[in-house]
Amino acid sequence: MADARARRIALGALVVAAALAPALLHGYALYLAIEVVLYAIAAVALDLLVGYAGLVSLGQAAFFGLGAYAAAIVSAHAGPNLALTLVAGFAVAALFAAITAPLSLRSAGIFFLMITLAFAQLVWATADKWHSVSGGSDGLVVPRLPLSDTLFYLISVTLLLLIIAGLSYLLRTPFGRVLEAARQSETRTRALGLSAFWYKYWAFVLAGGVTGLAGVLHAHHRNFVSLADVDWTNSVVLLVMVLLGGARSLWGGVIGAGVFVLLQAWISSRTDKWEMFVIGAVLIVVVLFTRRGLWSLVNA
Amino acid sequence: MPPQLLEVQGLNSLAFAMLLFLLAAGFSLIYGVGRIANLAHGTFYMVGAYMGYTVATKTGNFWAALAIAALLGGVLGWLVERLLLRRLRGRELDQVLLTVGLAFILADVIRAIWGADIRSSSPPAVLSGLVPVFGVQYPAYQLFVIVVGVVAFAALQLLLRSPLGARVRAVTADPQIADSLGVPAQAVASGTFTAAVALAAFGGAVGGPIIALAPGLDLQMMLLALVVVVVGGLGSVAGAFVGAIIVAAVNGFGSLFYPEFAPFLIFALMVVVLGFRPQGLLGRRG
Amino acid sequence: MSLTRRDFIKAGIAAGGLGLLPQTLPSKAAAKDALKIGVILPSSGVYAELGDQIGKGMRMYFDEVRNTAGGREIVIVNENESSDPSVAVSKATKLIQSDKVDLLAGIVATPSAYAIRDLVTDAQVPLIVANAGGDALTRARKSPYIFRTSFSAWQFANPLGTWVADKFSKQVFMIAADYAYGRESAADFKAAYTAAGGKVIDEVYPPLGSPDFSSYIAKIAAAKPDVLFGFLAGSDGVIFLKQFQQFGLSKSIKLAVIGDMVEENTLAAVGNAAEGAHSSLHWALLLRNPENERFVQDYQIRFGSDASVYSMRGFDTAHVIVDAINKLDGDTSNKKKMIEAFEAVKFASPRGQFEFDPVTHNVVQDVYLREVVLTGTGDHNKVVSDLGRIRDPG
Repeated sequence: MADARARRIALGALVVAAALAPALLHGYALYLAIEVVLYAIAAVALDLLVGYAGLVSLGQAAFFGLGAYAAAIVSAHAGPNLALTLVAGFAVAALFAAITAPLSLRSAGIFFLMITLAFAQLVWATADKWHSVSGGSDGLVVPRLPLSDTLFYLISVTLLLLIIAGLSYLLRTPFGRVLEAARQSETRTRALGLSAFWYKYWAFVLAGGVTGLAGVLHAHHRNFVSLADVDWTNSVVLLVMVLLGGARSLWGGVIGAGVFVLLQAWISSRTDKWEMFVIGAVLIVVVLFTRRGLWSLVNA
Repeated sequence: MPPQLLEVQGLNSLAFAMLLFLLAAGFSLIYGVGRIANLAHGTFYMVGAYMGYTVATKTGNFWAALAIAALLGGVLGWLVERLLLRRLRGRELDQVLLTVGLAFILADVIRAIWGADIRSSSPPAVLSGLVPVFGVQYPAYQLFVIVVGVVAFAALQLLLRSPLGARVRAVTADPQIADSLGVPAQAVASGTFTAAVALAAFGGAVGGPIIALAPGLDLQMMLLALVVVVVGGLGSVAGAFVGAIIVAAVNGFGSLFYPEFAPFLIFALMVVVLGFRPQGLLGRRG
Repeated sequence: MSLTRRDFIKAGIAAGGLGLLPQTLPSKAAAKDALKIGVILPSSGVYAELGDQIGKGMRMYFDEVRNTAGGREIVIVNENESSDPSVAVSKATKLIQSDKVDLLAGIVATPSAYAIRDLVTDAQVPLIVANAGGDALTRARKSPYIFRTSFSAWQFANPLGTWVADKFSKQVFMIAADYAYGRESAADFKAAYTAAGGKVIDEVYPPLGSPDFSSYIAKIAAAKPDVLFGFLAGSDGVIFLKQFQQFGLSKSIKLAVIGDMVEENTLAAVGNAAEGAHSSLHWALLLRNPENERFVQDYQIRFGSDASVYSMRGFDTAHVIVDAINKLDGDTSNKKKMIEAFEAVKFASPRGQFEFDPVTHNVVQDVYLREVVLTGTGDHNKVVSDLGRIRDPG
């Protein structure tokens, strides 16, 4: 008993150490580490939806982009303030999720996939036309935060760990149990007197808000926000990250994000022509040879 | 708005709709029969477009180009289904992921072979020039595209009423019951996939003289095809036809009257249909 | 039990990931003294063709000077700009921090230029912009470290506006791609055109990446203008011109467009659909001067195809870099001297006399009025008149 507990503390320490270690890097390596972390946050959110709520969304770019634009606009008016932009990004993204979810959740399966895509495209179309707010195709410059890259990394990775811890905890509570039940069978859940809808709803809103946080961090990291952030290919990339890493564990999102970002950086430093080919090939290999993403290899 | 303008725009929308139909019909059938959302479908279209372009420019024979594009598309589809998709039976999400990977791979291969230059093929001599249509002079090739689309639709509908088609419809309705009735669901799904990809490639070659070939074409067409099947209904060829016309019309007339809002309109349409009639106009629930 | 193993492996992955990171750093085998130039050009997406041609032009010039500038060997590190400005930021960051380049060159898309403006200014790394034409880059958003060898939207649109009003027609229909550069060109054209007494019948702005322009063409046909002003980029231009011809409008309406829309690469794709089109640009394939004739010939021999304005822009960008570094004798340690060296660059380019405006760091150049004519080798751009030496007002 004490033995098991000691072991669990040791692992926890190991995880935290592994997470904090990249803070010792600098320059481009640190830059990439930050990229991994912020995509991991978005991937973990989608992981919650796909793996636990059974909602495969192809519209996460909307939340990511809304968070990013919120960060840019707030920074432009109130100066670059990370706490403020994180709150704003979460709020805007969660609000969009809250408004669109009632309509989206009326569909299931592939229809849900399509309607989330459609809503994301509406955000894209709005960002494209509303020049005065979003900069249109010019994009928006985000003023620099008065933080070193190292500090930014530490804040981001702490946020990631808190999110994973928080969501893991949530999944162990009755909320999480009902969500899982709803994923497996909505009818039976309803037969138990529970509304599958509300559980999925809050999961969707939460995931949207968390993805917004990733968008905020991205905006501060690149110091720029553009239409590419709300492009549907971004949604595809996030889904790829989740499925690559394995949707049945929140850590799958982290692994998927890490593999994807690092792979992309590595290929692009070797050649500027075969990036998507290699990623596509890796995807196909992972799908054909692992049952549930890369995570399942670890979890043998 | 002068009536000629509306007429020309109507014909334009119809021509573009037919291209969308060729793409969306295949996507719809693949989903209906195999429950696979083939996100590489736009890329297959692009493959057909480039192949058609090359054959047409090298041999000067446009008709050969169309035939070869369709044939090679079919071969590609057959290979993909046989070697890759078949191993993921029942794993729908994984199949989608696989098609995404395939789309990535094909896009880079196309760029490696044909380069990034924008290319455009020309209509065959017999179809260039203008013809009078209900009081306006209209390009012959666009009319040809309309005819091709309508003929393809009629052919597909006839096919669906044949014994072969009955199998397709059976598997679309319920694969398990079809299997128990002796209809080989797997074989039907494979055959449908092959035919659908051939159709997409054919559509790409047909569209070549109207739409420019450049990297990114696959994504553009894929997105529009998704809107079409949503509006028209997954699994229904007639739905793809009607949906294509609606989407092309909204896009076309939207650009005419409200150019600033045209992209917004298409996706708003998609949201409305999905929200209130998710199975689309002619699709079925479940 | 499996928890322990799982987490050890997790940590292992993290460590492995860290181990992977240094591998993204390129090997440092290059000579210590080499001049490292980070070239950011799109090799994927909408602008891939432009990136490819600019790259070829640059390579051709560097080869001509035997890859040496200021006594140092020139080493190029290529990165893909893609069509996402934040990717451009990512690549620029890598080039500056990891590859430690002495300067950056390239950038096709205006949003990407805006995105990296602060980055290069803070890092004090000169950026020689080979294409991005947004006005603000050398006006409101100018930077001491950014030099533009290509153009500003105003430089092409303004003189064209005056010319069309004076020489072509006092009535025009306008079509321009609905994005920053398209809108700027249209606005600059309109201002000059109306100032010279012209009247704009109507304006349409199709979204970028439209696969079908028939609705816009129908509108243009219904308005029956004498002249159509246009700017549409890349494949949009190709589709539009073909459909313009298919609908028979190329016979009745004269085209007066921004040169990029009917450049050599587009002409290759549209056949004779653009024949007779007039356009403004800082270069033409058939421009008669000794540098251009040599450039076009050399390019044809080396790459087996006609040069385009993009190849020329790449060629000149490389020339600018080499001249400046030569002037510094290869010493890139003093940033202030570096800026002065670039500002002082002047030479005879295939486009005419090349120099920078020391205030805006934008190129001052001749802009030509060209016409697409059928020659022995196909449709090409020929210079009809010189619109003068054009300096962006800043």
